[in-house]
Amino acid sequence: MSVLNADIQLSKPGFTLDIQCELNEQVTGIFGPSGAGKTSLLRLISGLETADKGHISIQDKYVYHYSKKINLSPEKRKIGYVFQEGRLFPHLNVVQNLKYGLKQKVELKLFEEITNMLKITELFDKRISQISGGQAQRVAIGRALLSSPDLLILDEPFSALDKNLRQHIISFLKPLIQTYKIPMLVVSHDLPDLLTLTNQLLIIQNGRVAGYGNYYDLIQNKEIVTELSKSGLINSISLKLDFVDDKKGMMILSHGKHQIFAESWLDGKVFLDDPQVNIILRPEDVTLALHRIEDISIQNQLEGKIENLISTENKVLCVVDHGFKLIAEVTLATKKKMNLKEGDVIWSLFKAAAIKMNTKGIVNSNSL
Amino acid sequence: MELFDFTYEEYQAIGLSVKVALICSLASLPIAIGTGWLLARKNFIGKWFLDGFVQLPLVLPPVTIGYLLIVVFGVRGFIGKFLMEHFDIRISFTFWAAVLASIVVSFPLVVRAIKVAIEMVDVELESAARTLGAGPWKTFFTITIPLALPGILSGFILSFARCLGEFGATITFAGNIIGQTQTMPLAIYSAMESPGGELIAFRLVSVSILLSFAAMVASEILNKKLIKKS
Repeated sequence: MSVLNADIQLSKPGFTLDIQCELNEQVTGIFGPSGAGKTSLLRLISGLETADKGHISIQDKYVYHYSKKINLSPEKRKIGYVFQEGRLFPHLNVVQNLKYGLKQKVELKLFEEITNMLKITELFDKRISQISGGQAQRVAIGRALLSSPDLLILDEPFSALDKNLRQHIISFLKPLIQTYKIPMLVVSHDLPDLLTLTNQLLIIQNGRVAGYGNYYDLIQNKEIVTELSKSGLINSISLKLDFVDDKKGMMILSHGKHQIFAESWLDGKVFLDDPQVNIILRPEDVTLALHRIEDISIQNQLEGKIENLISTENKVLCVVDHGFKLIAEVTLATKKKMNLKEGDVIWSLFKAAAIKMNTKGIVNSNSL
Repeated sequence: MELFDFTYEEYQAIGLSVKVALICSLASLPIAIGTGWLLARKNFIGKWFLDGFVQLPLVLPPVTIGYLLIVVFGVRGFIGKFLMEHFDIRISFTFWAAVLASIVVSFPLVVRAIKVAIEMVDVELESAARTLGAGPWKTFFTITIPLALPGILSGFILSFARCLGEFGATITFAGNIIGQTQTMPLAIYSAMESPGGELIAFRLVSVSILLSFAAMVASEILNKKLIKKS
């Protein structure tokens, strides 16, 4: 069963959208520069706009088919749409907003579960003007989820929020994705945010699909890697938090046999509920070595295998497989000097301080 | 005090005015909401024509409107004749003529207020409602109308106030029949025309000012309350 299958064309003055895609993963990130047609695509999928021709099916059910004359209205498509600015109804309070799309059959239990998960139960009686941006976004996500959608669409859900709040919303989204298994499309022009949620990307450029697949496969394409580089190529890795050493200010993370040291950025207790953390490491912060190096301050030295070497204009991206994939950026000269080849055993070195956290634990969420 | 000793006829004129104004603004409200929504939200061929047609009474002399109403609804007018022959209903020079004249004259004001109010409602909130499973009607009644309510109410009151002051179209189409079509402005006019009627005119003018002022204040208060609420 495919989550979404679309083949659609739409012409507007000065803009043409021509998209063919079949999305199969539970969560797909839609990435592209602004004006590429991401939002138009979402509006076509949800029925807020109508294509010139083509077809769209959601979970193998046609919601639009030009030649079969199928065009379901938005309310019949069962799509939960979380808009860029939340779009909560200002004349209703929080709980009335949440219940707006509630189906009669939705159990009270589910309502309680979702609102608890999003930590919005205390906001129920508040007016929309009384809640903060981060809270509003959580209410918007809850409202969309409670309409029992077959597909959840998030259009730039983080763009109106500052960096800290984004990570917060992401930390709310991840458990929802895992618990409810609702297929989800997340649109963003911010690659790090997107990669925290999924590695499966649909890349849109000039109204067309430039690529679809796993992030680490997509970067092998020169055009795509150029496009992605604009937003900053990064490594987004999910690791298990084993231990926080408050005295040394370190935390020990792991992935399979590898142990990774990072500077502790938070009180360890915060993570007790959820040992999975998502870290970000920039490719230029990763050094490659042919052997383990003993007398060096760098604490993280991981053995792996070169999976791929991707040459761009003036640098080489080296994808190393450590059980998880890691992109390291080296110069052409380095590649030659070290004689790097695919399949070679290699050591990736990076400082504990180079690791940035991408998802924070849930701290004082109600104050945000 | 003789100054405020209202006669039965004066009471009748005041009562009639309020009755005409109430019926007029209530009757035109649903049509005005529909028209305002159409003009604010839809694009169709001949939209400019509808817009112009609706606004026309705003610039036409009311007497002209009264004349046109006679042409259409008078006993020899094409609708008036039809109503007379088939249903034995006569409109011109009755209470209903006063109501109809007021509706036509005040309609542009209500439509304009409602159109602007609906334009101010973010279309994307309506889109959000649709994706949450609300059909067009539910969206209209639970999102558009409540959010446009201040404008709709102020349109209603504006229409009410305009009806209270209606003169030209009424006297032409409904006549000046005491107890039937003689509203306050007409009574003031008659009083001024008859010798010794100054006091009557003064009393009615006072009431007229008072009522109009109250309507405007009510409109403002309602507006503020609703803005505060949203």
